[in-house]
Amino acid sequence: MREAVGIDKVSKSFFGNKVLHDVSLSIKYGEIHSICGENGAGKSTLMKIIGGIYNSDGGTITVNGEEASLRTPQEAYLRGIGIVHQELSLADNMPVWHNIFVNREITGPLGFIKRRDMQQRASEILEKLDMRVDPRAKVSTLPFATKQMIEIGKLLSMDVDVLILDEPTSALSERESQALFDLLLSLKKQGKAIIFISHKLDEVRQISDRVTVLRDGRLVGTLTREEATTDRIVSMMVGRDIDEFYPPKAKRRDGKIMLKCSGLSRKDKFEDISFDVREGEILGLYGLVGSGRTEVALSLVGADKIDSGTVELDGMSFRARSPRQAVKSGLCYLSEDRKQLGLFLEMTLEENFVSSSLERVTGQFGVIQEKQVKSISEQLMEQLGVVPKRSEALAASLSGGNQQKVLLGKWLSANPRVLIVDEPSRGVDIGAKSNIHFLLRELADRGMAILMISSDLPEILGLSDRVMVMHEGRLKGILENTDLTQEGIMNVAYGEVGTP
Amino acid sequence: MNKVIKAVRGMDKQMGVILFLLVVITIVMALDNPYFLTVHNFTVMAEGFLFEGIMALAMTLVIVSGGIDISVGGVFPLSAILMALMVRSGYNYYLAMLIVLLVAAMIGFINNELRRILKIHPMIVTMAMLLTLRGLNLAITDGRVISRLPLGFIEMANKRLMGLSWPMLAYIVLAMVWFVLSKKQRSFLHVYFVGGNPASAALSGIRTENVYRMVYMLSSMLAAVAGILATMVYNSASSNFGQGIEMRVITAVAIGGASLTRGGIGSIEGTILGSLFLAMIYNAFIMSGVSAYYQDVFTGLMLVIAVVLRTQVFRKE
Repeated sequence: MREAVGIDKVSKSFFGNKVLHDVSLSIKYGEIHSICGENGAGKSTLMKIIGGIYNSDGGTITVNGEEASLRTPQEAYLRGIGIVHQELSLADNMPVWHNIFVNREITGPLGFIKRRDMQQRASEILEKLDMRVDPRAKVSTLPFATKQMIEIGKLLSMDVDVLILDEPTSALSERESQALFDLLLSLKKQGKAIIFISHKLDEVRQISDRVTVLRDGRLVGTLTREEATTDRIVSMMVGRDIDEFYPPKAKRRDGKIMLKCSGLSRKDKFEDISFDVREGEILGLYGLVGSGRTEVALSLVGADKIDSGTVELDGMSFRARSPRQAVKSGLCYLSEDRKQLGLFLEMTLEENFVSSSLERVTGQFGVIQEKQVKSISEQLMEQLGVVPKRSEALAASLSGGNQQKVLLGKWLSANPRVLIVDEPSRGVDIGAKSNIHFLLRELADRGMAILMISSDLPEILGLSDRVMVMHEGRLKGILENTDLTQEGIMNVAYGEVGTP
Repeated sequence: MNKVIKAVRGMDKQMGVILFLLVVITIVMALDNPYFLTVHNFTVMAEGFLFEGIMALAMTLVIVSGGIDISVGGVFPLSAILMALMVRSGYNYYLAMLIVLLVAAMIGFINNELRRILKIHPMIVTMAMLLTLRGLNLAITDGRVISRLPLGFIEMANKRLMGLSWPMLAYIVLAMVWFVLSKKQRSFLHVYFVGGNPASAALSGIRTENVYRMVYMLSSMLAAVAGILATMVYNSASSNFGQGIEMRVITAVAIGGASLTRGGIGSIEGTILGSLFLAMIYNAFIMSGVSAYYQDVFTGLMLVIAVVLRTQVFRKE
């Protein structure tokens, strides 16, 4: 097979931080080539360099054997390279046909567009992809999976031969993912080169011809389809044995039940969810976006309604009417979206730390007691190992991992008895991720009951004492975490009935 | 008939509401006062809101791009003043118009450059420009009205074409041109992409800064057109021209369905209806003898209602 893209010793730094070290890689026509790696391993950066969104600091890229300058997305398109972005690049307020032809409109004199021609061409393109979509439909009216297909159609209409898909399935249902894979396989047969980025190793193994693993910005190696077992990929990604990467399991499993839910339901979100979490225990909740996992948490802390079911907190019947009440009762929720829903990015670390426990630092007449704030934040900085060690720094200036620690500290200052953490290590580099895992275990050992929501299977397996699996709003099973495997969990998630 | 039903169904709901209200007001006013439905009154009605109507066309693009331009409230009187001054000093009328338009284009350009370089919200940038221009207008005129324009100019200004005054003619032509461009012209359509999703517009290769520059320059230039027309209508110019006009313009655009908080939503036909609606309301106030002081009370109320309609009642998805 002919080489489509040759990447030779490509490097990239951001603000003096080297995120890609001399990566070399060859992508061929007619193959699906997956790129695996932890968050922060440099996958997306590498793809953005190929797609002309970032410029590399060093190294060369050849396209069809010729050295190519790819400084803008347009230059990449001209060379036949196109990216399907995680957050799609369609304008929701515009019709399908115009999104396909944006900035390449067929025009007559004075820049007047030829709407009919474009609608015609758009429906041909959609038909080729086997899609039944009216090209005149507004994009906002279409489901996410359809939008993604349209984006692929847009790229194909630009004669793109190298298609880069960055986590295309993270928001798709199982069936939609399969439809996407069918399309990718047929494009591969037509001789296109496809670069596929995913965290879901089962998908990677299902469709890839080759798998390349990146770690900390370096190329670890490229595996053929036969070599690419899950274990092998994971150990290459992590670079060490999983056991030493995660803290030991719970010391005591006989603590009293702190949070007990029975038959929780919320219309269109989740149905009949029952579980309990004990003191000193970490219950992992595995599920993808749309499985209802975050919705359950939001309902528990009173940010959303519960339609039916009961909740007991420390043996007492409990129903939070607002997050404020939940916090007061000792139930805290750490959002998966730390930038939007978690931190006050434009405020200092100490202000963030005390923001959920202002009562503790407020004196007479509602005056904040600076001394108190200082002592709380210093203690938390120490405990969490936040870098830099300056409590006056703005939260926005910290790295993802340190922001996550500050977010954790914000809730610790409220002295919770039950802590719900949602994707605690998303977008965090490996070192900080491990730190956060050990911190969570330490909190559990000190008697906190922790519910950890995650779509990261290694994290679920490495940290949880028990694993609860949700899929499409239903509880599929709660499993003791002994001899559990990723496949085992996936089977429960997508199987008919969970093993109790 | 089927076609009509289809057209009504396909119509934006907010526009439907405005159209319905227009009809209702017309009927009520006509029953109350037969003079309301005369051609003469309609002319009066339109002329009272033509300057706002012209400015609203360009403001729609600014708002669709996700921005706002308050400075038109300063450009409008400045243009009238410059026009009057130049005509009085014996400039060729058309050369004077051209110069006024160029000055306005420059102001729009500066608005956009400040927004781009300083990364300040256009609301702040154009508000600063509005204050600056107001001060400038007072300084130039020393607070006095500029009148006693040459007879030739007054004659030209009072000419009518097919029975239409210059402002009326200008509005009809501009509204039609703007409507067609907004539906068919590539750069105008790109405003919708930039407003709807700036990051993706850039990824698609649209030069977003060119789009922003275009909308701010056009906004200033149409304010200048309105200013020139004001000089022609009043045969004079003053720094007092168009007090609060920027708010009436924005209100007309909002009533027409454009979103003030989220880019990418709004249409020229909506804005034309919105302008028509406000014009009729103001006229109705005068006809029914309610004090003109209440006009602004009503304008404020309409702005709230329009935004509520857009964001709460007819919210999509």
